[in-house]
Amino acid sequence: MTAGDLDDIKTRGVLRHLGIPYANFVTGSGDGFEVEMTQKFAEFLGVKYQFVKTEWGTVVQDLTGKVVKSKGSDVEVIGEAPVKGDIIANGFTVLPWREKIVNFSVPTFPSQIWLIARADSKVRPIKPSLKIEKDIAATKALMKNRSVLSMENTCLDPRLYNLSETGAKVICTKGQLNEMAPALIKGDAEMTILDVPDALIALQKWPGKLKIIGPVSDKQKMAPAFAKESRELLAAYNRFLEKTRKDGTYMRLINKYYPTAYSFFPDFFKGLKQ
Amino acid sequence: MIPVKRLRLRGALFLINLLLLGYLGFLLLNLYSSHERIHNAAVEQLQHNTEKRALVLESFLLDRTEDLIDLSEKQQLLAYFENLSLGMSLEYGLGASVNDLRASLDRYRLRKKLGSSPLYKRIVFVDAENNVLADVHADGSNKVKIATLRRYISRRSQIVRYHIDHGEPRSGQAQLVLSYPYLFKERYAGSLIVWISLADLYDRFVRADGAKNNTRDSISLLHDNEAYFCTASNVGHSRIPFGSLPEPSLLKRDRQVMTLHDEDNRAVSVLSASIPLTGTPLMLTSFIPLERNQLASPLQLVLTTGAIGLLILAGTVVLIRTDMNSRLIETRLDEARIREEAMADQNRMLYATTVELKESKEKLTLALEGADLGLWSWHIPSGKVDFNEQWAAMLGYQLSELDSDVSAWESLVHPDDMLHVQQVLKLHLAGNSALYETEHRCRTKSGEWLWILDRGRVVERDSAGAPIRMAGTHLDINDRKLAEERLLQLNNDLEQRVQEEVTKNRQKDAFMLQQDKMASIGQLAAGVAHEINNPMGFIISNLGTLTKYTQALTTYIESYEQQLTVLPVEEQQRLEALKKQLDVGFIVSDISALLSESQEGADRVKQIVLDLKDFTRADEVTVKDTDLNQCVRSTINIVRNELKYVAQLDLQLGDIPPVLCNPQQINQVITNLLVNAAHAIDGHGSITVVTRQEGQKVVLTVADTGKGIEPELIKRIFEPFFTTKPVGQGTGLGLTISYDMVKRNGGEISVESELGKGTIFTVTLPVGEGER
Repeated sequence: MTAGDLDDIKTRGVLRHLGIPYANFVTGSGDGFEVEMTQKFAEFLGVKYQFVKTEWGTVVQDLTGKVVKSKGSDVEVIGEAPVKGDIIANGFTVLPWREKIVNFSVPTFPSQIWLIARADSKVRPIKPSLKIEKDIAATKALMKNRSVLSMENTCLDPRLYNLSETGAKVICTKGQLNEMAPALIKGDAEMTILDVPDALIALQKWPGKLKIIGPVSDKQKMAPAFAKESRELLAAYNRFLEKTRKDGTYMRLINKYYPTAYSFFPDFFKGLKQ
Repeated sequence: MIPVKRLRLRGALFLINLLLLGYLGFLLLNLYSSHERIHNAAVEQLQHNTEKRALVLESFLLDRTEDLIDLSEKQQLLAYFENLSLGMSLEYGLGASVNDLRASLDRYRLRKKLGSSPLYKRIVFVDAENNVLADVHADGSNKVKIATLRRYISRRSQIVRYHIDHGEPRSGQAQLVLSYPYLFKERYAGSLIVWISLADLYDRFVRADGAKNNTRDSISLLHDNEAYFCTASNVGHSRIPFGSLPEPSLLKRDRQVMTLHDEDNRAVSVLSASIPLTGTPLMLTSFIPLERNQLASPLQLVLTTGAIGLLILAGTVVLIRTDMNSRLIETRLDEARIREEAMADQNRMLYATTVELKESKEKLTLALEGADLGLWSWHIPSGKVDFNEQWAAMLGYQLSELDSDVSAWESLVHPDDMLHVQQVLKLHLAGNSALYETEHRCRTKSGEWLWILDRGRVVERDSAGAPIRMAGTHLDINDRKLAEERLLQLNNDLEQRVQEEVTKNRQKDAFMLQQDKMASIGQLAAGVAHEINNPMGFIISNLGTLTKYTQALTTYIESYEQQLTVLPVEEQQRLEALKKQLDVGFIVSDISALLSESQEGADRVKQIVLDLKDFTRADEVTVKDTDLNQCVRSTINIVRNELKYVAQLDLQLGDIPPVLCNPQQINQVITNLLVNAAHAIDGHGSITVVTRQEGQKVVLTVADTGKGIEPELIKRIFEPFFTTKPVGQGTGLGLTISYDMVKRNGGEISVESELGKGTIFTVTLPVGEGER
């Protein structure tokens, strides 16, 4: 069984949303930015909504039916698996290797990977230089000989950012992305890499416990992902997204779940109806 | 010369006038004193009200201090400075803290309301380096300048400070600015500054609260040393000339009397009461004009009082005169009214009586009509009878068509009822009953008989007790009587049906009992057949073997006898004598006959057992394709004993297909028919059983040459308990059960009979399913 394209989903009458509790995209309490957006997408298609909980390690295979292993910007298919959903919508970062196995919709949220340290760390945040490459280099230089949390097969995969070349002691965890910040505070490592949405929430939740050192990646974007064969479903999502951007639904949900996102990423949200 | 008496009179008058003058003076003093007290009370009230409003405003502003402390404890503010102290940059993380801080302050600004609009028009956080980190305000507000903010910032004292932002003069945009220093790790880190509209404060706490206060007689104004914070439109149409209010800096605490000028440049004397609002540059001042409270001059009072006195006196005289005339007229009017009322009372009583009588009559009429009662009144000595319309109408007559004589009534009473009526009437007239009451029929005009309930009593007797007059009613009870008759008929019918049902149930019970009995007999027979069947098996088997043995022995004996010639003659003679003595020759010849008969008897028993089993078929209770001829044969075997002495049995069993039936039940039907046929024959006769096919049916007839059945009885022979047999010989249920069983098997049973010749029963059964 493959991920359904539009006709299959309409015949089946259900849109299966693959998600993992992460930041305010999928809160784990039945709501979240991506949960509400996908529910509205199901409504747009005229089908029922079904949430399918998955894991970062299996989310791609649950959509595509292919067990994959990422190698930097490349991906290798190493097996087959049952398909469990029709759309990944989870604050899913657009990464080169992912683009080779899935199709992304128009981006729905901006992101970047930052290096975060515990407040008591002796490492001081970088002084911004206004040039992202310099800032990344300055940040990576601070990682040498320090333990850094990361997570494979996610946007925090250390291979994506060549963390091994920094001399950092990279620790790959197996838990959830939203457990990275608590793990850092608990002392599992001195540093972690986090994407911006998660880092902002961590700063709100634990003021004075964490500090952002600097960027380890260029600006990124997040978007829902679809199986390669679900072209009509992807096109339908892009139409749906355009509609929500025009009628104000999209920004209403952004402000609901990420109230500071607009002022933090003004360029990304510029011109959208509030 | 003035007489002494007159002088005394004048003196008295003078004294009276003097006393009056003194009294007037006393009144004037009292009046003056009252005016003073009222004036002082008004001033005190003004002062009190002003103080009260000032207190409310002070309390409100004190609560705002708490607001600023709340704001300074915002977690977002702490987070920003924590992150700042950790060295985070605006680009990487600190910007988010700034955004959080702005969002938090804006939410606070929108949440705090004064009435329905936000209390704080603007909230600003400026850091220690005079960078404006957050500036949240309503849309359209101008950007605040840092130079302006500096006026409000104090780094030293950790208290809420109040300032006035005057804005454009008399624009109504003046605002109260509150600032509060923010400390991070006990060091000054910035200031929180909030703006409150003074016009809003004025409307909420001064004007709104003083909606009754800001009248034409007084106003309250909010101001500092520089300006009043309200526009002319705010103060309404007060008598206080707003345009000529004193400079605010001239208003001091407590009361002041001042002169203001109105638009026509007329001087207005005004009392003011000012209360400064503690801790703020604000002051609340109330103004009240003094003119209304000035005392009138004593002469004015005397003249006014005298004129009023004269007016009162003149008015009193006029009133007294008018009052006397009025009283006279009123007295006359009262008399006339009393008379009129008395007449009206009489008229009302008369009218009420008339109405009552009319109503009473109407009620009586209605009651009689409603009760369908005809009235009669009989003058006994003269025989004259009066009837009413209803009496006549009841019998279909007009009143004019009836003679007013008792004979007219007598002619209408049914002759069959007359004797009874006269007896009852006679008893009552003799005084032996309290009421005359009969139910009898009367002839209507159309000639029909109508049942009447006739009631009456003697209403007048002479001195000797002889009846003079009798009155009574007629009531049409025809419907009731007919209903009673119908009811009686229904009761009779019901009783009959109950009797029939009882009979039916009794018959049904007996029927069931008989069926149970037959079933029991069948089960018993089946059981006996089963028990006999097994020993019969080995008896027959042994007989067969015994026959073979006997034949072998006979053959051996015959061979042996042929060899006797070789024996000596004496020996041959002795054996021959013994053979004769033992009758061996007969034994040998008879033994095979005995065995053959035994074999035949055993076979017969076996056949009877098989037939008995076949007849009862206790294990077969369902309908199935059945060989009717076999049923006939097995049944005949069972009842042969009943038949063989009275009749010659003639079987004409045709080539018929199987029939669809319950064989056990059909066997019982055939048994009943055969036994009945045997019983119908006196002496010796014949019974003929025929089977044949007619279309999709198989027909079985059982005909006897018996005495036959009488035609009037033939229709009853299938009835339960109907029997022509002598008492004790028949239950009367055999044919009934047969009828029921044939019907249950989808067949028909009928009978033809002729007296003296015999009877034919015909049973028709459907061909089995496999043969259709």
